[in-house]
Amino acid sequence: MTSIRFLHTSDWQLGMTRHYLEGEAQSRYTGDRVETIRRIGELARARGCAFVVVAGDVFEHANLSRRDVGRALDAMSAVGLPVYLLPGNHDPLGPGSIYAQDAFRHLKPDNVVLLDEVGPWPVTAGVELVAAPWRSKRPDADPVAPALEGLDADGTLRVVVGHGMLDELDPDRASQVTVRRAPLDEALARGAIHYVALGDRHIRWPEDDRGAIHYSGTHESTGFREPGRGHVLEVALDGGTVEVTSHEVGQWEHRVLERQLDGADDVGTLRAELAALTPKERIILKTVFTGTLNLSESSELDGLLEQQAEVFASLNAWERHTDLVVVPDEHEFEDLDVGGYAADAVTELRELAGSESEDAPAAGDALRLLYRLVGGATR
Amino acid sequence: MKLHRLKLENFRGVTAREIVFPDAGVVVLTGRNEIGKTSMIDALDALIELPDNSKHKKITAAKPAGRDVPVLVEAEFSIGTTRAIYTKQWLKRPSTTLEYISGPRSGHKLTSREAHDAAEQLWGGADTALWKALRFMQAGGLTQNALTDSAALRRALECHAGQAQGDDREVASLLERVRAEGDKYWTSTRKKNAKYLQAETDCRAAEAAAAEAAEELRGIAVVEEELAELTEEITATGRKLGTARAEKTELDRAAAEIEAVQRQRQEAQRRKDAAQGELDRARERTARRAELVAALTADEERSAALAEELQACETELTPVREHAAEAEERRTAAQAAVQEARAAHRSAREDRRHLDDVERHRRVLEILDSLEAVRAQLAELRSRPGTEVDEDVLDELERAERAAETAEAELAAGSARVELTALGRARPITRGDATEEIAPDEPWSVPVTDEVEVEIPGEWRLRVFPEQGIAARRDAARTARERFTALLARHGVGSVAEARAEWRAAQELAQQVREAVAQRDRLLDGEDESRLRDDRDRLAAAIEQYGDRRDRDAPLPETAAAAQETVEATEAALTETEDTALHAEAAAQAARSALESAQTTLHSLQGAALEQERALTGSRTRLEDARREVPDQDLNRAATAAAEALAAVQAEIDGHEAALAGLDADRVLADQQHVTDEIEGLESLLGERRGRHQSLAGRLEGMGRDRVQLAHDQAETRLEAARRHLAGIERRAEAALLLERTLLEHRERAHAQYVQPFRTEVEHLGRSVYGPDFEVQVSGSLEVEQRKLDGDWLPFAALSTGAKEQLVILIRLATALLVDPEDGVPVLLDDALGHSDPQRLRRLASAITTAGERTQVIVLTSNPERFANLREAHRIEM
Repeated sequence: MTSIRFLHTSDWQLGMTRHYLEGEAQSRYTGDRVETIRRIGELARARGCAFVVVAGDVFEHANLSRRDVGRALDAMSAVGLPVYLLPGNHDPLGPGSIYAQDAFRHLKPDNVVLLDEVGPWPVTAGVELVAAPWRSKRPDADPVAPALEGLDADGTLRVVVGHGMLDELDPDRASQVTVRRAPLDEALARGAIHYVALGDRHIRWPEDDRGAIHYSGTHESTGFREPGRGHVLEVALDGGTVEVTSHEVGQWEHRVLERQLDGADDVGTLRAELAALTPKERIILKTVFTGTLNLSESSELDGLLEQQAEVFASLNAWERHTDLVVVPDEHEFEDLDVGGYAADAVTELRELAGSESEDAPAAGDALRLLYRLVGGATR
Repeated sequence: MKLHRLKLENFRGVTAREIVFPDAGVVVLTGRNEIGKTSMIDALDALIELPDNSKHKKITAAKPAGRDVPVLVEAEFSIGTTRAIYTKQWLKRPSTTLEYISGPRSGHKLTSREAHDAAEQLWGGADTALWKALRFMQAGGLTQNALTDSAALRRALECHAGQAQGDDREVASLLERVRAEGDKYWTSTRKKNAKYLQAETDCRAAEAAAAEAAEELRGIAVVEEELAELTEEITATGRKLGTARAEKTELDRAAAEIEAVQRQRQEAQRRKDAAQGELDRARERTARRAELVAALTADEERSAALAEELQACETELTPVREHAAEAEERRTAAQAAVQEARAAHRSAREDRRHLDDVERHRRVLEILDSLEAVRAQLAELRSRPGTEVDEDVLDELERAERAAETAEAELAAGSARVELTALGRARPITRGDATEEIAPDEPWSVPVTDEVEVEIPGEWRLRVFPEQGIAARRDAARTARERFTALLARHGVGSVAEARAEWRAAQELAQQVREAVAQRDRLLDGEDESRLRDDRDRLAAAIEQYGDRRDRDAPLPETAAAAQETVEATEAALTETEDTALHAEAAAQAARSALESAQTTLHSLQGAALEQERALTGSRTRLEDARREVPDQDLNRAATAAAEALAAVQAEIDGHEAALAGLDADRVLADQQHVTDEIEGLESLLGERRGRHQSLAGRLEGMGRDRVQLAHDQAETRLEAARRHLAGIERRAEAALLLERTLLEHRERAHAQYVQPFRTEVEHLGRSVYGPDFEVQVSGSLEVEQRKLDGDWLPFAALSTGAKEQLVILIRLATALLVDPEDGVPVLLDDALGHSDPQRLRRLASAITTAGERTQVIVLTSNPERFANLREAHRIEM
């Protein structure tokens, strides 16, 4: 029987903006996400793949500038192999579709194929892609199932290309657009189809690379719920077996740093951890700190974060989950020139900072300010 | 801090001065006013505060006017264990030097900015708040300086209050820094400041911008939705159109079959129309033949009638013609009679005018004669001699005469009189040359207007002289008389009576002239005499001409009245003949019209008869021609054949109608029409939707989607940044505010604890001045609020100037006594205690001396007597 090797990727969502990225970081993020396509091409060629299929959401929306579309298509052109694009919920067909715009139609290179009709698309002899494109923004049924109609186990190797959340993964089971697994399993079982390349989920699934139904995940991380860097799946089919290998291709990482900080040692550890993270300019960090620090530790933490904020692509606290109490040690102010009534004020603020009062954070901040003003932070 | 030496050059009024202070005790610096005592303090401040390149007003104003010299200040002082000489020169060759004399850096010498910074740091080690607070400057007013900022005082008070001593040297400046931190976010009244508000505004603006951008993006989505719906509608309409077109094809086929039958039916109908035409034409021809026959009959009848009418008309014409001739004759006769009457009338009028002329001529001649007589009379009257006496002259003469008589009477009446009475018998008297007899008892008297000489002959000559004033009266009487006489002479009359007679004669003559003129005017009666003469000549000529012209056979009437009667008679006759002529004219006219009318009728009838004759001939000819062409029986046969052909075609048509009914033609055709309409409607709808689709697609195209998306993305990014920025500000602002508030609360509490030792010291010192019942009440900020003396509490503000001055000095001295000598600073009293009585001065001097034992007290005064009892003081004369 025929065999085939290809790369399965999805959810490029080219043109995406992350509002927490300020200044040049956003431009780099946008540029890198296009650049990664070239690396996907290199990988595909190196692995002897026949084509690359993108299972939906190639573009973030239909409002891309001609320049951005042109750059994306240029990167796809550089893949040097057929690149099949499936319209997903972010870039459906229909009026106003990005695929209907002049920019796409005029600039599309020959190796890029838009899967804009439901059903089989011959790829090579004996191999078909079964496309399930989104024809509108709001389909009213399973977006994949109709593509399976009329497929027979006739020896043709078939790869279903679909976009949507599988019912077993979709938290909204009542959703009309859930991809039902049963028809897919049934078609796989009877040999009408051999692999299901899905998109929509940004995290690779299943993680063990087994089975014939796969989400490749996005090629570049788009949010904090996506751990690690983006992947693509190398898929090899020979009619009997499905071999799936994941390859990390992404450069960017969203990382939530959850740490309990209860002393100078913890701050020191954190410093070392941050130092170890690379490449910092492509890591988007969100911190969730809990614990209790004294003023000098807190000051050290502030200094560390302030300094690191300049080198990471983004470094912000996840305020909602942050619960870091700043309480000065008993003798912390004694070493400084804080006597008389100021010392009494410190005592009061320390008690407030350690309390459950809603003013506790402000009291901690006030103490940190005081600490800084009396020169504590610089010692 | 101790001040050891102070040197000034070219500072305000001081050209050069150096003062050395003893290390302890009281120093009294004396000097007259304006010698520059206060300048020394200002110079010291400038030395500490202003770098050598400063162009501060304090420096520029200090330089002596018009002299290009540097301003120099040098001070030698100790702070803690360090003693230094600090020198600064401004404006010209600016320089700074700090030389350490003793202490850790002894022997070091710094210059320029380094020296300034080091001095500032050194000076920072002194309690500057206390240094400012312990001054009493006359110019500063009687205020209590802020003592709470002094760390040294606070330490001392804490120590006295029994509290643990904290190293709070920096607490005051810490509060300043906290305030400065707070000032970054809050106003002085701790409302959000411009920066804070700006961050809020920016955040709100970013939110609004993001919402607006999102709205614009939604606009694009809405258009996309619309387009999607429209696309679906277009598809549905396309499907319906397909169905309708299929139905139409089927209906078209059935309709074609029906159309074939209909065509045959139409053909039959066409033939039916032809047959009907043929029948109509045959019937038409028959009708036309009948019309020809009827026309001939009618013409024949009309010809006969016309002939009868013509004959009757000719019979009626004869009497009318005769009557017209008679009327014409009568008219001619009446015209001749009018001519005759008109001539008689004209002749009568000329006669009457002639007689009028004769009468007028006679009257004119009479008037002209009378005018001549009047003219002669006027000439005679005007030739009589005149007089120059008129009413005014007469009046003047009478007044002059009266004036003369009055003057003479006054002469007589005003003069003495001489009266002689003959007693018993008559006696002669002689006056002048005349002698007269005076009867007895009839006195003789004469006024003495002049010298009177009376002689009783032989006995007495009596001469009486008038009085002295008579001359004037006499002159007046004479003058009046002379004037009167002159007037008479001037007017040529002898007396007033003569003059009056002359005036009356002249009046009468004038009356006669007026009457003659009136007579002439009456005769002319407004006429001009020359015209009367013209009339006379014209009338005479007219009368003569008429006599020559008139027919002499007819007698001229006797009078004008008779002539008038003739005129009226001839006029009446003329009127009558003219009436007769008018009637005759009208009658003749009527007769002529009647004749013309009758003749016209006759001619008309003759014409009609001729015409009728031609018509009759025509009718006859046409009928004959028609019968020759088609005989009457042929016409009837053709009509019958056409009717039969028509009936045959109708039967054929009925057959086609039946066939059409069998094909359900009406329904098929109606359905076909409906489907056609539906297709048309659907096509139109589809066209309209496609147009709308195109327009919407165009609109979507033109919405600048990438620009809107980019704007949206950027706005969201900016919003995120603005929120983070604001959150940071809020957090820092709240922290600063909380810290400041907490510090202030604790300071207030701490101050409350300092109060007691401070109060004790002030009262202790005060009792040495005012006696044992002196008490004060002190606020948390170490201000004396009230003072008790002789059992009465008085607020500070209510104290007299002297008492206030004494109290603020006592507070300074008490403060100096309280602080650790190590922390102490000099107490400066500038021109103090000018308002205190000698006893108080004495006692205050004792307090100053006490303070001087612990710290430097520098007293600046222009009045050394005031401080004479500071016996141990070091005195320096400036």
